Amino acid sequence: MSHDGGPVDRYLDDLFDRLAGTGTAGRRTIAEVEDHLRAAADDGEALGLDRMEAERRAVVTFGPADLMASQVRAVHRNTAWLRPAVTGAWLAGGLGLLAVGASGLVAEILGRLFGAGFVAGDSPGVTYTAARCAEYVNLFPGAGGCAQAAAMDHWGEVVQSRAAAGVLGLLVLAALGWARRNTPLGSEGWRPPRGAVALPMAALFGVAGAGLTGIGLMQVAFGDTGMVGANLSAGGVALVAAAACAIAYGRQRSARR
Amino acid sequence: MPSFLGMDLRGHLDLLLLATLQHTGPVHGYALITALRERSNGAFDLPEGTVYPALHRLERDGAVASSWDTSAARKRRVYTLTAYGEAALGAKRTHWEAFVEGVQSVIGQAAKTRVVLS
Repeated sequence: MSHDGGPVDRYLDDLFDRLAGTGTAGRRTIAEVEDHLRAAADDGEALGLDRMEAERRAVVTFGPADLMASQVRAVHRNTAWLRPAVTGAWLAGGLGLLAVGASGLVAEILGRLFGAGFVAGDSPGVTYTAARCAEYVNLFPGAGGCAQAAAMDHWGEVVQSRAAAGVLGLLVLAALGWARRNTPLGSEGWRPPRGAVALPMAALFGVAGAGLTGIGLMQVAFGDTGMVGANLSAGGVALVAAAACAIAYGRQRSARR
Repeated sequence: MPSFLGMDLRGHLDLLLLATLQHTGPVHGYALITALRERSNGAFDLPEGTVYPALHRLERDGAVASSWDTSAARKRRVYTLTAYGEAALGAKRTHWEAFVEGVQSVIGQAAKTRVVLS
């Protein structure tokens, strides 16, 4: 049965005009309201009303279109993008810190394989005061001199600071997981769009990885292997992270199709 | 404005919707409003249009989730209470009970005082 031009259609036309520019929220609202009004009119008709009267009553009971439109606009105002941006930044921050932590692990391995000076140390030509030298040697009695003791100390600092960042990253991600399960952050409105985190992270990790690895390789090419491990460990992990994010992005894109 | 026997219900609409949704299970807007009216024996005077923005807000806040049901003749948005919504309902119910208890205490005291004075 066609009801074109009846009270329900006129109401929907009015509401449509009032929701202009609201996009998905407006389209969804129109669909919901149409279903509601037609169901209410069907019920009225089943009770013995003629169709026009049933539609008129459905519209009156529903309330004015301007009120409906203003309330929908208030709920779906443009600040809605802030919510997924917050969770996206939270996730990206956690992943970034986790990658720094992983680079600390790699720096530890490189230091064990090629010596502390490969990862950290002071620039060539740096001299130490007697007191500073004694301090380093006291910390690392097995080192073969001030420079090596200083390198071992700096290596430890590199690994520890990066490991601390990694632990912080784990805590940040665990907190996000908890918040998603126990607070509104788990709802659709807070979820970043597919690929909105993976793609920028892939780009960011890619640029950082290429830059740091490039610097490390240039150091090797020019025979300057001092501290090269710090750059190579960070760059290598960043490249792996970039690849992982790119794969995640590809999967999210194919899942959307 | 939603009202119950003339009293403004705006501050309690979320509680009513969440409680009804918990009772009905997954349901579309029209059925939810019908259930709300039936459970109150028709006492709620609800401009039905106010329910949808309220549902959208509850969904935005994570208390309900929704999806399209295309199995019926018309496409319908079906709402479900989330785990967070269950918790929020529990908290709102507790606040409401405390409010009712407080009002009842005052009304009871006033009634007793009136009896004593008379």
